[in-house]
Amino acid sequence: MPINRNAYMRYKAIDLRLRNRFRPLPDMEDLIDACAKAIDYRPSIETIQKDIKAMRQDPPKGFAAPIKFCRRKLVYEYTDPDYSIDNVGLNDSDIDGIKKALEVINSIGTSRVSQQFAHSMGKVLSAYNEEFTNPEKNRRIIQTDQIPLYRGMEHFDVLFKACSEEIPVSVIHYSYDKMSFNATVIHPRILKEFENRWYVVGFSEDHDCIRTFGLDRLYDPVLLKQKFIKINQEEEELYLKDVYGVYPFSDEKKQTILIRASSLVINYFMAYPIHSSQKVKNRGEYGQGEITFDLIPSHELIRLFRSYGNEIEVIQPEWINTEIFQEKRQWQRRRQH
Amino acid sequence: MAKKKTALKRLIWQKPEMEGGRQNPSILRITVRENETQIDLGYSAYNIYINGGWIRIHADTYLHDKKTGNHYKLTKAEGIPIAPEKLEFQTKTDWQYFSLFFEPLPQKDLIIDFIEPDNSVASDNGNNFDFFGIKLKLADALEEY
Repeated sequence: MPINRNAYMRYKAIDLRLRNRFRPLPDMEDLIDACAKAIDYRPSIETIQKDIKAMRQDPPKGFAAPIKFCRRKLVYEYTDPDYSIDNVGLNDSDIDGIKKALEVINSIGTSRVSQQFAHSMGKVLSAYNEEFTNPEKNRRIIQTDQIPLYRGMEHFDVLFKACSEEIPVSVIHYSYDKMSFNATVIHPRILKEFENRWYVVGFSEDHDCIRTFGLDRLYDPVLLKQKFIKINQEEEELYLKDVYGVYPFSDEKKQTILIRASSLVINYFMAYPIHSSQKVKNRGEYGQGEITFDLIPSHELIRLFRSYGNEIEVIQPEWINTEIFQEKRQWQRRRQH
Repeated sequence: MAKKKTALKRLIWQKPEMEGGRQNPSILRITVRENETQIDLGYSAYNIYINGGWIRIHADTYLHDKKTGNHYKLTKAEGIPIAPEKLEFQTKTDWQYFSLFFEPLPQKDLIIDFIEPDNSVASDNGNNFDFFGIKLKLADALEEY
């Protein structure tokens, strides 16, 4: 089980206090005081006793800390004066775990996130004379979709900062659909990945509602010194949870979507559900059946349905079938020009 | 005692109001910093030109303060070449975002013109990027973080 952050901060405080050569042999009250300075509350005697027990445990559970309790003086000390939990290194299992995680994260994409993480972990591993990848194994074990060049990915850092520190951002947006530019201020909440594309979701001042912007369509985001507008929690959850994809139809509410599908499609949907609300029912003799979803209809959902051609039919709401047909016609018209 | 100099704010106007001028390109944002003025513009290729045509900016483009008559010269262009170089579009549906940098404007309420002169070899037959009466009111400005 991983060590939680608070516990780790207490361990560090205890470790620091035990190593303080100017104030040696701390008692329980001294250790509590040290921990209280490091965290926001005053831990109990029981908590510190448990922490000491945990620190004494052997890795990977603990740090094998040589903490000795003197019953006569009621004080604590390290039997090894050079000991510190900071000196406890990674074991083989830790290193192996990091390497696997690196491979997974690296395979997700060549984004700045994976690059930064690889760089940070590379530094950690270099301290242990470990290579980031195994030189004898120059092939990848995990492969995922990758886009080598991605327009807009250079905005990732600034938008990440804006989301995490709640800073409004001035952005220039180009709409592929309207073929025009616009400038707006967004109050970003999250960065979202869908089908290998990145989006920022937040309140748009220009639209006066929550919106999604593809990073590839944004230019020159600039952080602003102004009050951050928070989206209503309920609205945000609805927008993020009950949508397949990133662009819900703005005038549609969450609703039950019913499709009739062939056995082939049912098998795919059962293997890879697209949403937690998905339910398969009324299976026929040959595997055909119906699937329901409780979702806000989105452009991506329609695109997904369309990709299955005649293998599916949307029963409810009926307008989705019309939309699928219209989009196909629009695309054919555009192709003729 | 020497007076301590306070750094000027970095002010931003989005889609500033103006009296007239080009619709395409459009001025999307103006940023006034202590050492420069940045104007961000967006251009969508016209479908009347072969493959969308081309764009460029005249090196003598300037900002004109309507009240004082002061001129602020173009110092740098990003995303658009300086004439006689051209950025040729590939299709009628292409677009280009570009930024022009000028000498710093004073941080006060201003009405400015954006003038691309057409009196030289770089003349673009009246298709200059001109904008008139751009209103920069301090009260409407956003502040860069």
